[in-house]
Amino acid sequence: MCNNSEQWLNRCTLVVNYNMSNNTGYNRQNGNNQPKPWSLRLFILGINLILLFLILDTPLLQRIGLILIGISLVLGCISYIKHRFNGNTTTNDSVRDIFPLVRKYLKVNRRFLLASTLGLIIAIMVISQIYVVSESTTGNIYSEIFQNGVTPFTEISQIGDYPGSDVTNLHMNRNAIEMKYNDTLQEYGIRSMGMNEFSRYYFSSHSTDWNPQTGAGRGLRMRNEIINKQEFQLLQQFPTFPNLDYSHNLTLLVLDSYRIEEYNFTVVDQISENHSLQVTLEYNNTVIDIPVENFWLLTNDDWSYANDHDMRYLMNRYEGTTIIPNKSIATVFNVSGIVPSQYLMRGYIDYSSLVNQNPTQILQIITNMRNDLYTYLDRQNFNIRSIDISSQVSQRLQQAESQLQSIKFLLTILSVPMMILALYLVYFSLNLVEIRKQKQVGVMKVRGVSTTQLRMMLGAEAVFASIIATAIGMALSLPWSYYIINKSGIFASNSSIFLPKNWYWKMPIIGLILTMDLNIWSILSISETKIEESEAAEETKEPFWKRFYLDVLATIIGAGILLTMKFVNFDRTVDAFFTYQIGPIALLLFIFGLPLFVSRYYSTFLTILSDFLWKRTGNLVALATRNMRKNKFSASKLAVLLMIGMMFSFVAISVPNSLKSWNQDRAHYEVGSDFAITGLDSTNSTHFEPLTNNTDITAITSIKRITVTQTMLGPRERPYNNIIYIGINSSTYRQAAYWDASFSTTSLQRLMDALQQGKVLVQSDALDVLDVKVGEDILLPINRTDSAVHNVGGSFKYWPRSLDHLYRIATWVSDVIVILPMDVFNTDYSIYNVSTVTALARTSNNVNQTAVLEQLKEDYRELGGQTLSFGISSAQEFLESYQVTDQNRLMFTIFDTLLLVTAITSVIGVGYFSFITLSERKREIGVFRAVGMVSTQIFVLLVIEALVLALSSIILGDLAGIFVTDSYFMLIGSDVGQIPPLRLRFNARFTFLYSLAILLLSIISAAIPARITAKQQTGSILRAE
Amino acid sequence: MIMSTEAIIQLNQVTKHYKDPSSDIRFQALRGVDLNIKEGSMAAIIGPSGAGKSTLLNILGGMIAPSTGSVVVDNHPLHSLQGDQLNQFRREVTGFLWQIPERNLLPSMSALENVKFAMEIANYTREERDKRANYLLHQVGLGDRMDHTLAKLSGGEAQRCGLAVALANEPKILLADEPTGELDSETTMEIISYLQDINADMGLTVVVVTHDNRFERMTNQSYNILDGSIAGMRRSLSNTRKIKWSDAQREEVGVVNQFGMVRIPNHLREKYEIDEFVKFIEDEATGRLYIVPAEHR
Repeated sequence: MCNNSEQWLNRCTLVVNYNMSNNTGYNRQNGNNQPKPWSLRLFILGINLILLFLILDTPLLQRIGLILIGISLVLGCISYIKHRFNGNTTTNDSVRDIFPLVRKYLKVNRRFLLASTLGLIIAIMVISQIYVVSESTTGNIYSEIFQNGVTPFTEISQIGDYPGSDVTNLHMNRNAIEMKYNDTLQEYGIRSMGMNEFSRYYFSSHSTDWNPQTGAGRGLRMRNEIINKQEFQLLQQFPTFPNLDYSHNLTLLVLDSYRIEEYNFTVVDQISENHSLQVTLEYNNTVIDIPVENFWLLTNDDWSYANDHDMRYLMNRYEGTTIIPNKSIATVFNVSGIVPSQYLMRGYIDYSSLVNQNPTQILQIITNMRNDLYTYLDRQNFNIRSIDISSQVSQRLQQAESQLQSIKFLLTILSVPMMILALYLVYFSLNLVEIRKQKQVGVMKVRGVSTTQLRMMLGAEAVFASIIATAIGMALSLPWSYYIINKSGIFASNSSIFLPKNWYWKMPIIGLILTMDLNIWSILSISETKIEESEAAEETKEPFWKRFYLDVLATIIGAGILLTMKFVNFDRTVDAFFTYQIGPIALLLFIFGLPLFVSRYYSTFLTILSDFLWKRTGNLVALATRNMRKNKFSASKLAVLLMIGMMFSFVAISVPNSLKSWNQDRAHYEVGSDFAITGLDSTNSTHFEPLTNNTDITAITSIKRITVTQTMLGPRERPYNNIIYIGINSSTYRQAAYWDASFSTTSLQRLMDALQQGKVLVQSDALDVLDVKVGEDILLPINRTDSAVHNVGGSFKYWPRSLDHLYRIATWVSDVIVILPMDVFNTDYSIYNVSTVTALARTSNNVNQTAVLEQLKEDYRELGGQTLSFGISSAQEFLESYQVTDQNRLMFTIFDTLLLVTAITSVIGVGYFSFITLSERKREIGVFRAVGMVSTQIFVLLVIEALVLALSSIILGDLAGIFVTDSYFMLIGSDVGQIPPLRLRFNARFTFLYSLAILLLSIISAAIPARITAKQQTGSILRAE
Repeated sequence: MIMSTEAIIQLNQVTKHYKDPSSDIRFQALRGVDLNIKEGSMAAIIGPSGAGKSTLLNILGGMIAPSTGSVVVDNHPLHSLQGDQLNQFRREVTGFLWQIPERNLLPSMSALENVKFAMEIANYTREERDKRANYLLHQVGLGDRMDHTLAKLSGGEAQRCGLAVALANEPKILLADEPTGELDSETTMEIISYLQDINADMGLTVVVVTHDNRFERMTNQSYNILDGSIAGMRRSLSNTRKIKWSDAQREEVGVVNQFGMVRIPNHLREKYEIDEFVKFIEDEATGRLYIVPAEHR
């Protein structure tokens, strides 16, 4: 036995030694989740930069993206080589063998495929519409510039300078020309002579020689016009402009025959033997023969007195053409000493081949041509500083380009909320199915499926979803884009859709990159799923933002700063700092932090709610909220989706409404009431009769206004631009004038009371800088030498009709506004002899303002007769003058589509959540049935769950929307901005109805799977999963 | 313990501990398990709930790795395999049968598709898959239920289908975790019978984890596991290939660990009134060691 024991011990020792030397049994405390390789991270970052480049068209992003992709591929190759070098074997899964697996997997997971597809369709649709709308706008603008149906050729005309007075003369002459010869021109197919501007060389008084070095009198000006094809074909017959790259560039020279006579030119034209034209000029016995290709057209510069004979002679002589080419600028200047006066030169570019190119490229071509001309002229020793080569076409194209850029920028910015919604829907859906997929993957892993096989299956699923989503998204974006372009009314007539060529390949690439972004980490995570879930649970790490409560901090800090800005009064400088520097950051912090904050605490909210209801009522609602805790994390994400959608929708509803209200505020602020009539004599009662006799007018008041300029005021004697005194009639002002409670912290009644006591009202900003308070006396300048003491009875922030500009400057008070009682005004400030007043008139509600305006105009026209004129303005007219810009119309249209996208994503999100979660709650439903609940009760229970989720999210979204919109308006319409400031005015009724619609749609989308689940037989449910 | 060259499964001082993430409490599921199972044998691991049976079986199946110790299955050192090596091991060496059918089968596939799917993973050709799937399903008695999905199979049928899936890739070892846990007695006996036939006809090594003591009489060896360690073993003395299981002679043995500790079965302790102490009496003449109760002093 001892021997056996010894042997046993020895063996144990051996075993121990064996274990120690082969101690590869490892501690699984921390699991072995593979860290994501840096090559993959760089690759993902690189392709995302490429994605941004495809959307924003910024070449720098493309360069950086490609570099990162290159680095990641190199790192990946190095890693792979190291892996193989270390003797790690890989499985022998061939691609061919994986196809059947992929097919089987796709067939099994059809319902999971839906998760990736639906949201991606919306995202692709949104991105595609940015392209299509931008390109269609470009195409439609292009068509408008070049007049649809006409072949676009451009003409560069008139090299030369001109003094201003001559231009006016010549423009008028041009009109006379066109009027007189229009029919003839058209008969010969010439639509435009293009002789709009003539140039004149002027010489120094002591020299008849042109001096190119000094450039005295020598300038060049080139102009573009659009001409039609016939003209161009005519011009194509002429020789080309030398030393330039534009083969159809021609010059045309027009001489002033009047001047020729003045300078004693003789022009002899002859037809040579070969039927070409020759022109001979004689000047002071100098004869110049201009070769056949360099002949001159003689015209009369003063076309209003044109000699018919001359014109017709020329047109008959040259077979209907009135244009003749000159070969080179040099020729022009060679003869300029002889012919010192006007000439006309034209250059033409044929860019019919460029019709399909965008304005940017055409602009570039024109710019290149200009640069070439500058270079040529410089080489010819012209003083290019005096040369101005301009192009009307390029100006129009540049305007179009700016318009396009602003439209594209607006489109992109406004589409961001929709993209966020759509991509979050995809993320939410993928998250929802990830856990369900993990169970399947667990089964597969038990059977020995390799990581490669898994990744191929999951990757194929993602690619398949991408292909479907991209195709459908691209197709749906076309009618959507058509709707946006035509509804926004940017173009007068029905506009067409233009599809850029690169759209066909850009969108699939974008779809693929988005798919990779959304799926890659999920694929890696799922493929590394542990078979034992408990191990997976212990190795889960929270994202870093969650661990450090960054979401909570961002939300609280953002909200705190914005609330502080709203309720605390700062001085202008501090206010400007907050408005322009801190406020936008705070708003962004809040917008990005709030969804994460809700995601963190929504499950806590559900728990608290269910505990509360369970203790208090214990009814179906309590049971429903109890049940929701099972899927509380998925429910949190769904709540965030609905909340974000409602928040954006609220912005979309309230911004247009607020802008419309703001325009009305502005109009009333500018006019001061419904109507304002200036130039009335306060001592002449007849001047007020049209107002008093008009039954639609319910209240009238009068004001006087003067401005004292460039005075020193205040203890610090800071200079101010203006002190604006306004005298008002305090007994009638309140009834007639326009007023808003935001204009002063004191009510208008109290302000009028102060005026009735003989006090004055001073603008609140001015009080600060004047170092005086309400109730104290203030010395106000009457003129440059005299002042008067007044007691300050109140203050205000804004006063209608006080300022000429509707903008407050940030850092200093440039205009001080003082409101005086009318009698004080008349007494102390009468030195200015202001006897005319402005009458403000208010009408009753629902009165036809246009009719009242017309009546007033007629009455005052009659009253004024030939001697007096009165200025009549109405708030209605001002309102109409604030025309909605193209950009605003586009914005409103996109906001409409945002409402639709929110509704769709809400329906999909709630429906999919219900569908997936209910399919796994069959046992739970079976237990309900087993304890006696009928199908109707189960249906109601499930619907209540959806109702609680949707209602809480919608309320939260609306509240967040109010805060975000109000804060946004506060930032853009603050004390340092527009007067009156832009404020949140939302249509409560529409907002409520829209929220109700979203709620109902969400309930319906949840009700369908709930109905299916509730109707299942108890036996089959209990037997099943 | 000496490593047997005939053993297809060799565990040496395997431990496994877990950490509860919420409470940060660590608990040890296995405490130094030594186990040798011969190739072609049918072994049971029997113990109460929480004894560590499933943990042990999952380690044998390569689904979790031990915290310490070595695990060699069919000459594969599982404690040092990772990633795709483990996947390949599971694909080629072991077949696993869970207690719950939902863990054995993909619910949206039919019985036939489930069996074929397992072979698709292992790159069988289409002809081989069709032939073998049909054969296996007929073997387990599901020849007329091949196109039925999980929802349409009874519990026993689903478990038999799971068995067919586990055998699809011709494994050398079949690991079954409480395969009869959710079945009635009759179906349980059917499953046991299938397992015995598989073991006898195919020479497959079968390891069953169960709390059902009926398995004790149906296997070559049955290990009792208690509190994470092997407490004892009962083994068949007869060649069960030649006689019925119920007629086989069995003996109960104590398992001596590396520290020389052995566990005396409770019924023996009670029978022989073994309290706190025992003494060892050597009989050199016969070369035996006797363990007898010792008194308190």
